[in-house]
Amino acid sequence: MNQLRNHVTLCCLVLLAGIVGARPAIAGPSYSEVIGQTQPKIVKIYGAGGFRGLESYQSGFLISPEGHIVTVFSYVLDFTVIRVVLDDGRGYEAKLLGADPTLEVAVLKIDAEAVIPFDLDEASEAAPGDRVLAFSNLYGVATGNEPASVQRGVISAVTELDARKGVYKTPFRGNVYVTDAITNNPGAAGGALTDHQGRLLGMLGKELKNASTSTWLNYTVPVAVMREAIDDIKAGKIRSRQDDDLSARNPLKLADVGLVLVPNVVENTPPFVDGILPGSPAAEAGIAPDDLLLFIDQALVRNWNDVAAELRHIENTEQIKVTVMRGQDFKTFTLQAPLEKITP
Amino acid sequence: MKPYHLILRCLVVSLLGLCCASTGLSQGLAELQEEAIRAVAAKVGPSVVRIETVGAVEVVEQGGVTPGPSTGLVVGEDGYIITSSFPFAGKPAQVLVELPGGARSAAEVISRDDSRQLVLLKVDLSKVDGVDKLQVAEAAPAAEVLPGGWAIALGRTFPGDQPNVSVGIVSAVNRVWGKAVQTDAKISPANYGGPLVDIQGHVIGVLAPLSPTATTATEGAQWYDSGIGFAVPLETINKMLPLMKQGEDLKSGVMGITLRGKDQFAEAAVVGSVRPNTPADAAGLKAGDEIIEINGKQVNNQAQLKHVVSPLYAGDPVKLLVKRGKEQIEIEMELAGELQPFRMPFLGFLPQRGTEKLIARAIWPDSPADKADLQAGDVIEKIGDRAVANRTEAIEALIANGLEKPVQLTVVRGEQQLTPELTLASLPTEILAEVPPAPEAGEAVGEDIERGELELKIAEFKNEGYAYVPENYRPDVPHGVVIWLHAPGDVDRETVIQRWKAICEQRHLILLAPLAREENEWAPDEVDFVRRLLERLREGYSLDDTRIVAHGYQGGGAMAYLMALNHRDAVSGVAVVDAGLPAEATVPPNDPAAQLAVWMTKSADRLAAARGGVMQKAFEAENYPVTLVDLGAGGRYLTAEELQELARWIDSLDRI
Repeated sequence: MNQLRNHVTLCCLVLLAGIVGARPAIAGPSYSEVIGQTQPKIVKIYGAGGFRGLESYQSGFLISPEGHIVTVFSYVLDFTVIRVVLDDGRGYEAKLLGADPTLEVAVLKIDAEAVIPFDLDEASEAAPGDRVLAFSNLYGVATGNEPASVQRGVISAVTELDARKGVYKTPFRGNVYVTDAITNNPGAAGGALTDHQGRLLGMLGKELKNASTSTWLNYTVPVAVMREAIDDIKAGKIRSRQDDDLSARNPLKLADVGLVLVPNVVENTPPFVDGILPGSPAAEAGIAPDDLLLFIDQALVRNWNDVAAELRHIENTEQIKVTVMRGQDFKTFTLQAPLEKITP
Repeated sequence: MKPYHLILRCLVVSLLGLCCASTGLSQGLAELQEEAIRAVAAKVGPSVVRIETVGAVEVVEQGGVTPGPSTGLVVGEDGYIITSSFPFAGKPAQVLVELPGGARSAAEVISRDDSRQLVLLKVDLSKVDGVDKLQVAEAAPAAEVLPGGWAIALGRTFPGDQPNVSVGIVSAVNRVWGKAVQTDAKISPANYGGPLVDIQGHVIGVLAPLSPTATTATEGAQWYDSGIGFAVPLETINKMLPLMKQGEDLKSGVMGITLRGKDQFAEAAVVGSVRPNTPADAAGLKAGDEIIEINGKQVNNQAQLKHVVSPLYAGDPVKLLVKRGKEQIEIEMELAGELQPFRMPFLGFLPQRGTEKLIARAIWPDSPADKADLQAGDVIEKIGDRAVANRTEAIEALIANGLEKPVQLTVVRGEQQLTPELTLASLPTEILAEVPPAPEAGEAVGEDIERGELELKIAEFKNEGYAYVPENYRPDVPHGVVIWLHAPGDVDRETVIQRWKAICEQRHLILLAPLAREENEWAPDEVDFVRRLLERLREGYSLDDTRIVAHGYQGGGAMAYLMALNHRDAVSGVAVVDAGLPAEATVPPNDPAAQLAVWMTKSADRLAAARGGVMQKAFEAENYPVTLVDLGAGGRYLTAEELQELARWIDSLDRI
């Protein structure tokens, strides 16, 4: 599969090269001009050395005339020496100014002059269907004075990465652009996504799999999401934003409200109600055995494990709304654990 | 607003923009495209719903893609939704539909289209607050779907109110044996079941993980996001919708014949066998007939026939022109959906190998042949009125005759000609107590052939493998193959070769042992490597297609099942010690053109016993001959004695 992906990416590159090479007979600034203006803003980043089997290179882009560079926060930056190579081949040793581990964004600084940066104030936003260009050094194919590679696509979706249920294994939460350009490739993370006029939209994300479908996700972190962090790091403010703790201190147990589910015996056990504790809130509300638990508050619970994951975030003092399916009908109940049963 | 009005308006706006702004025409085009794509998403979006399945069994396909949330397309304003069968492979307990706007409802599975891997759902709108009818999208006429045209794929699998979008072009039409439109838009679980839409906002088709070689609902998913994706034309779906709404499952139409030869692109469509009680049988098609035309289209090879037949449903009429001897005959029939379950008829003898005539090497005790007093050395010349000179012809004649029906043989014994009449039985499942060694025919030949232990490698695969070719191998005697799929972690080559060496020499077998990429684990997609390795062996050695057995222990056993079920054209037997059927595998009905014999173990271990029972039932329900071997306490590989028994089973797979 991965091989196929690689082939496809290469094909895209070849195709793009073809498009760039053979300019259509149309007047005015075109894709090739936009690309030509954008490529100098993209840099190649190398960690000296490299762990076995891991790529020790990634992409980044310039955001100030003084040589500030935005890139993805990754193990490549763990090296004592980080090298940055511009599109014209100039090479610099970069200093890691700081990083925001939650957003996975880092800011580097090189002592370079006459660089062409993106202006973050002129960054843009995009909606599904908009044409985009992705600039990166995917697979590390560009070296020395070779400019970054360009891929073309559209915004597929603007959506939230729901890390909470473990669908995506990343600390990042918040809105991202999902593109139909296959940007999920080694070395591409940290590159830039622009609109068709070359206006910056965001930073290409890391290689990430969607755990619910086991498919690779091609996502970009929007400028608006990173802006504050970038400015703080540039200004020398220490960013030590911790991962917000989403877990409840005293998580609710279903037994607290009187619900007993069928035992979790097989992979993906459907969350059927097995029994109701007499005199419990569930019994009073009228939930019955064989009801299929479908939603806890607004979250769909597809199986037993989803239920467990959802409950971890609910305090036992909170009210919960439970939607069950009985036959072909939905029924919603509001339940609250009785105070005397709650032991902090 | 009609979309072309919008597009027109965009055109005007951007042309105006061109006059006064510094952006050139190409930028204007890009904006125009963006506008048009957004207009398409806005127009068709209200017909695109999100589908969630609850409590589905985890089905990990080749390439590891699993169904999460999925997409569906509204095809009836009263609540009918068509979708891909991709998320239904795991037989979910409950199906939920989230309508545009966020209203959720349970959905009922109304019917399936097994030919195109689609499922029709129905939502009861009377139970959904604030929605009385759904918006149905308009289908693009097939004549307007041309390669190069815009193709916009919509899904509804990400959180948020807008459909997700991927943009490409129509790459080809009439793909997957005439059933699908191909696109280079990125097609994946993110939009399976959703619509592929043209630039006017007309739906070209419904996205589904099809592939020309796939046999399951999820196999095509390994091509996700690769620049190759497929959509079943909405026009076809709409045509079949009235039937589907009545709850009728749609099946591919079949005639009930097998064709001779294996190369579908090179060989003419000559009928090998006609199964009794099928449309082909009723219409009078006969073995040896060459199909030269179907529904007015010329047929030069088997693939061309498949192109015409594959898109047809059960109940569709076909008109054939066949060549029978010097005559040309027109034959008409109505295709069937399901054939009577196929059970291979059995005469009761083992043939000699590498001979020009059909000579009995041994007679199966208590078989029809035994009861008719056939003897080893008898030459079987005719089955019914069909002359037979080899095993393939004999099998064709037996299939055509049918089970439990009398047939007269013509047999030559020395100077004598005998014409016994007997009734064909089912294939036996017991193992012969004794299988006489196959007589060597002719002189030893082929000195330059490599024998003994061979290293095997296929360039594109990381896996390694080896083979053992017996020292007495001779190219004029086709050899069977034991494909040994090791248990995870158990890769001691010496033991394996010692185990099989004598058996290979005695029974005309070659041992083929692919190794897992990771010694401790087999991945389902490694069956492709196993298949390639088998083909590599075929290049250098003469193989007996009737005795190619996938054999494995524990994790390797699960791989053996996968290999046998996913590569039925290449494997004729599966022998598994202490393993269950992997989730990826389903047991299809037995097929006269790709028959499979099953040998499996049971043991006192509670889990193994329960599993054994389920497995035996699964195969027997589809009419495969299943031989069950009791390992007693279990938890081990075979003893020397049990191995000899397995060897005899393999050696007798070319039974007739």
